[in-house]
Amino acid sequence: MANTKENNNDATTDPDEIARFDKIGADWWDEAGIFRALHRLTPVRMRYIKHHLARLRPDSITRKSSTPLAGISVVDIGCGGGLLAEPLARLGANVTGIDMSEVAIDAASAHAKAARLPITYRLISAENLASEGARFDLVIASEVIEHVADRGAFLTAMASLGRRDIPAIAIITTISRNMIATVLAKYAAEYLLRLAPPGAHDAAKFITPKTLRREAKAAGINIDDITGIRPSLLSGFALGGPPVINYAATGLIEPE
Amino acid sequence: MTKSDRDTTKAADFGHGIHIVGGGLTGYAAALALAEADFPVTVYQSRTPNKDTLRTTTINPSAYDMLKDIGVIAALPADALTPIYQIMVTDDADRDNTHDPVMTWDNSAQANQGAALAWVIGNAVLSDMMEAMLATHDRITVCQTDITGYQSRHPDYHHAAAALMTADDRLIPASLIIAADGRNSKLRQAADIRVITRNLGQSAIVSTVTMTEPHRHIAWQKFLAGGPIALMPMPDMHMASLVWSMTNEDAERLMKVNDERFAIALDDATDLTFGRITDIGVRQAFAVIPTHALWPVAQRLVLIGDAAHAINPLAGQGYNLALADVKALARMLMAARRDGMDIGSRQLLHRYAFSRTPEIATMTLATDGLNMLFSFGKRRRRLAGMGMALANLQGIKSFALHVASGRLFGR
Repeated sequence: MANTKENNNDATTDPDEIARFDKIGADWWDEAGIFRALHRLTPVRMRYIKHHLARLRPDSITRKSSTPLAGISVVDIGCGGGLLAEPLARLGANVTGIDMSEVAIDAASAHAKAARLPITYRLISAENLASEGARFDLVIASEVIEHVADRGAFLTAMASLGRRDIPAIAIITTISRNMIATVLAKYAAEYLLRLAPPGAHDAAKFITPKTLRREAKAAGINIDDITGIRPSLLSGFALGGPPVINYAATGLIEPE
Repeated sequence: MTKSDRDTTKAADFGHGIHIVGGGLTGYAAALALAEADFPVTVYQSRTPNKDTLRTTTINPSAYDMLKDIGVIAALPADALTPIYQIMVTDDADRDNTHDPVMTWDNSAQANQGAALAWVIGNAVLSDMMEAMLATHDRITVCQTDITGYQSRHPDYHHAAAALMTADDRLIPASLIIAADGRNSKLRQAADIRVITRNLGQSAIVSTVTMTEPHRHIAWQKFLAGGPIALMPMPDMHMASLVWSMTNEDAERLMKVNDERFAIALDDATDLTFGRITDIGVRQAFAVIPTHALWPVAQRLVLIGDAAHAINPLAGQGYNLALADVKALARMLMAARRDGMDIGSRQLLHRYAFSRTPEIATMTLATDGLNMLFSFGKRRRRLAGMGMALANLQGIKSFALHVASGRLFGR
């Protein structure tokens, strides 16, 4: 786990966003704290990822095993405190988590160590990791794309992190761009329900499924599934329904 | 599940494991259920176990299925379970024929088809069998360690583990603590979980009795002025297990009299339903204080069984409720594992607590309510008698049986 500042003069990182997440602090793992909505979102994200991995890679998923993702390499871009990296690692995946917030990477590393999970965390941007030559079966950007500076460059970096020999998979979860999403996911969630830190999101960076599909295609990711994530009274979130507020997308990465 | 079926790498055993505190029937069942689901578990039992050899437990069909699933039923000797084919409930109101039960459920016509309404088993038999199974299970570690306390966060692992404290001040990190340490749960106090208690000044006397007439597989219960009395069938046709609730003063008095005097009191209380009582085993008395945890979870800790809800013993539903806890918890942990989730996570435990609320609340209200109605005051009891006559109507009866069999809430 390399926690030293690495070269980060890249196009995708928004320094203001990083400063904001650094300021929010290390309480990523307080389930009742400011990241509680992300905690609630995690089982849903995991179910979505498992389902589409099994769909696109039926041979490499060992369904009966308690570690069905064994042998799958995953990079979680913008991993934050490691909320998604840990369950992926628990299912046996070989996980690398990267983030540009040093506070987040420190919290993630400390928690994985305390939870005895083998995860590699690095303070590095997606394009710098790609230029090192790192390649993965699965490239995840969950609740991240709405925070990046240059979405096109970010999607290109995502695509370049996919392995070349067999088609790699990209999975993105984000917030749609419309009136309902803006009111609910930004204002209600941040200021009314306190489900997310105030100022966590900039509604201008929200993105519709249609735009995401087009921009991903241009970057070499062919999105073939978009699934809505709807609020649920009992468990916080549930999969299914139209992609009005939160949604998840899966695509195969074109091998160049 | 045999060893070869399991993932040999055991790579899923991340974190700090599941720790079950309490060496009683509930803790044992939890250990076996989770180990059968391939979770490694550690069980802590006190070095001075208190074995109550006298008491019997009533198992409803849902609990029977659960015990069957974890291999306990198959391991028990054939005569360990005494089936109940008929439940007879009555009171001591002045009616034309006081021997007519106010309420009965009768399956004796289908007895040969195994249509038992419930089963009775001796606590000692069940406990010994489970203990033996625990000792040989490759996923279970049993520790003879007294657990004295709990910390919501282990100092070395912060959010990733809670801690159990031992008598010699060691801290054991745990991903999930299952507190099955009984009605006076130490862990419940240590975790500062608030309870509602109803001390109505009642005690129960338990014993085994020998009767001149056979029990015919009838579970018999009568509501008396001080509390209910119940006779549950035992393997010997002429023996029954007695649970007799009464005021503390009466219990104190009846614990002091000799067996002959006690038998006379029993003959009076049972209306000679099974003939005269000829022999009485060792008597034990304990206070009946229904205790109900308001919300049975804390950071990485969940209360199950009597630790969460010590209900009135009158309906013999305590262990059934505990096994339903175990079943629900095991199911949730398995689902969490499939999603790679932390098995001690807050959202998981809260969802568990939420899912258990309807059954626990129904059972608590039903047992407490029956006891309150019948045990105190003449007018109230007349009302209760009317209520029971009403309850004899088919719809209400089958609803009550559904709740009691564990099938209304269990899926």
